[in-house]
Amino acid sequence: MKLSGFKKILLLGITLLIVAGIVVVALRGINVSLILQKHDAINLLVGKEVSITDIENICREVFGDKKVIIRKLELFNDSVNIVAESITDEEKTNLINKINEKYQTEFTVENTEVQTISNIRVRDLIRPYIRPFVISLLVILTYILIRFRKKNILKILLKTFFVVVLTEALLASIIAITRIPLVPIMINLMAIIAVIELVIIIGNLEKSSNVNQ
Amino acid sequence: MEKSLKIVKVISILLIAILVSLIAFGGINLPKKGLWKNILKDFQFGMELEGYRELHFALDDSEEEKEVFVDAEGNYKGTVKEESTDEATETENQSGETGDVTAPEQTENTATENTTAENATAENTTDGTQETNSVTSENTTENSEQQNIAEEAKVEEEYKKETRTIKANEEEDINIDNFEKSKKLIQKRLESISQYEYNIRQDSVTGEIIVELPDNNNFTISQSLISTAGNLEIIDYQTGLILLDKSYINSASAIASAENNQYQAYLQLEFNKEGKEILNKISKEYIESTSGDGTSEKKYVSVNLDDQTIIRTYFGDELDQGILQIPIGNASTNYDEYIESAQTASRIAYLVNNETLPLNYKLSSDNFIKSTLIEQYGLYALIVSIVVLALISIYLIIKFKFKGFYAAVLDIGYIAILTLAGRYMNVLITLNSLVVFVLSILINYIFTIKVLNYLSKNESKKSALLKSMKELYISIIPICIVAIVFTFMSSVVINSIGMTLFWGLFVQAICSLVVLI
Repeated sequence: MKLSGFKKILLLGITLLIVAGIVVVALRGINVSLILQKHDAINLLVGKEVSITDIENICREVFGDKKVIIRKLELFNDSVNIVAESITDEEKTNLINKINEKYQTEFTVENTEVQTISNIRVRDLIRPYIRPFVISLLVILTYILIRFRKKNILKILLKTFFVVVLTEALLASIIAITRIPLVPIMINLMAIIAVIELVIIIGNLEKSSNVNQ
Repeated sequence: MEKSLKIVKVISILLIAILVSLIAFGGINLPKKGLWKNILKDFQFGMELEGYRELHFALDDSEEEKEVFVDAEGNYKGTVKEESTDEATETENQSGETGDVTAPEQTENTATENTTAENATAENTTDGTQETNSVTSENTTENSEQQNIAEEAKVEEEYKKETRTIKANEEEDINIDNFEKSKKLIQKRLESISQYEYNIRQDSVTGEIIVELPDNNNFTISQSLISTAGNLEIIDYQTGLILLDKSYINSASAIASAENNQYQAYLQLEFNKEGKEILNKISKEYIESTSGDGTSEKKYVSVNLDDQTIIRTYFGDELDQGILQIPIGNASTNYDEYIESAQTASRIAYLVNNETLPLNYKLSSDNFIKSTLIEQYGLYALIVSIVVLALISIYLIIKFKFKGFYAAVLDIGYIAILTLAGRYMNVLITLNSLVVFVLSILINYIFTIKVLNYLSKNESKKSALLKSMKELYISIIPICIVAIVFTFMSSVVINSIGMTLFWGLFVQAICSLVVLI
């Protein structure tokens, strides 16, 4: 297969990016969002209606630049779940004091537990996508095989497979290198991009078939 | 005349599109008990948007000194039944008791008899030293005592009794390999449920497992699949000796019977060669017999799952096929009740057919964590959507004049129908399905622009629509394949994508045909 100069440079660039991505993942792992990584959490049953904005302000004072997620617990808007990368004893004490001050509660450092929540493995997030994605890809490749059987089908199949895998690897590498925190929806977006790519490939093949006819 | 009809048709389609949009976005509000209420079915959200139950499972560290049966090699063969335990279990298990396991049609009648027999046995254990009221009861008590003594003597010949500390988890089992294995088995179990959705976390040091589950109809089943190790045993109810365990079972399945408008769910166990022989032996031994004075005596077995009795029963016929059918729940005319029993039977069958958890877990905490995504970003998303739709509509109107306006209204009608399909076709709304929802709208706009371009080239409406449909559907074949494959997957994150895509394409095709006709 002969490639033009531009295509050669493009392919080289993509290969380098993928290698760089692999190196980053090997050395530093994938940067996942706070809720997916190992974190500390405190559950506070305040007992009166709490405002997320107020808690956010308190957390900003206590945790500074640390990433914090605040969610409501149970159904009555009177409890919160505060999630941070780590919660030190000092931060815990400050947080409790400020919450007590704001809501006139009587939380103590002793009766408030900081729970360490383990991470969700990326492979567990990807797990549900593997089977449907592989089945879909096989069906699509079979369709291409039947629809364009009169063409150089082996070349088309290999090219299609190669382009899809390369694009996905490139996207994964960009996510790894840029350290964008991985959220589950990214996996869906990557799958959508692969499908759109297949739509474009089939569209081009149809066009070239129509031109030949 | 033809032109007037055309105008009427266009106006009608526009009015219908506007009406559907008003219904879909504004709802149908009717007074109900003095309050105006939207009668449209609510959207169903996935756990990212609705919230989830965060269950913490810690390794069970309980231990208890128990008198147990051990064989010649020192292997555990069951816990010796104590008098007090016997009594407690009998009271607890009244609901789980049934009659002759081999004669399901007699279940109801025998169950009544069993209750009488059970009361007699209860008297035996609780008031053994007291004088009983009736002669029958007295006789039954004496016979049962004699029977128990004989039984115990026989068991003692074969097995030694030892006092052992029984731990929920043996120290040598607590290791990283078993942590991993437990996690994988739990994942496999949760994925056996249709429409499953979960997140799992594991602490590799303590073995603690955190599972995030949606708070829906599957919650109880999911929770029990995590906390049940899956040890199924058939034990001698009188002594506590294990007669058969999971190692003798080839397969288990849930089956059902419907007789006299009553549904009954069964757990069917198929035993291996060795199990078949033991089952045959015990089916001749654990029966209802009549003693010399005409008193009926029953010798029970109990089927236990993780030491919880599923059923206490006896055999009516000799079982020589190696198949045992255990009724789960009561025969019922209520279909919902039957479904519940059938689900329980399926769950037990699944646990029997699959590996037992190497470790026992206990629930240490359970919190519902509300999602704040809609609260935080819902309004912004709505504003952005309205602005984008308005911009696209303006573009269509400017570029294609009245035809552009007509298309813009129809496209909004398409979005409205899609949201109604989402409400009524049980499509779970997840972040994934929202992304695909946008993709469906995008496909529809691409189609609209294709049609309008053909129309602007003075093609007839029919030709423009047919050409656009042909071009669109040929190029989106991969999307159609993905829609179908993803729809049939059990995972909510996957089938929500498939369902949304499917309905997006289906509604799009129907709308095109309606306009074409």
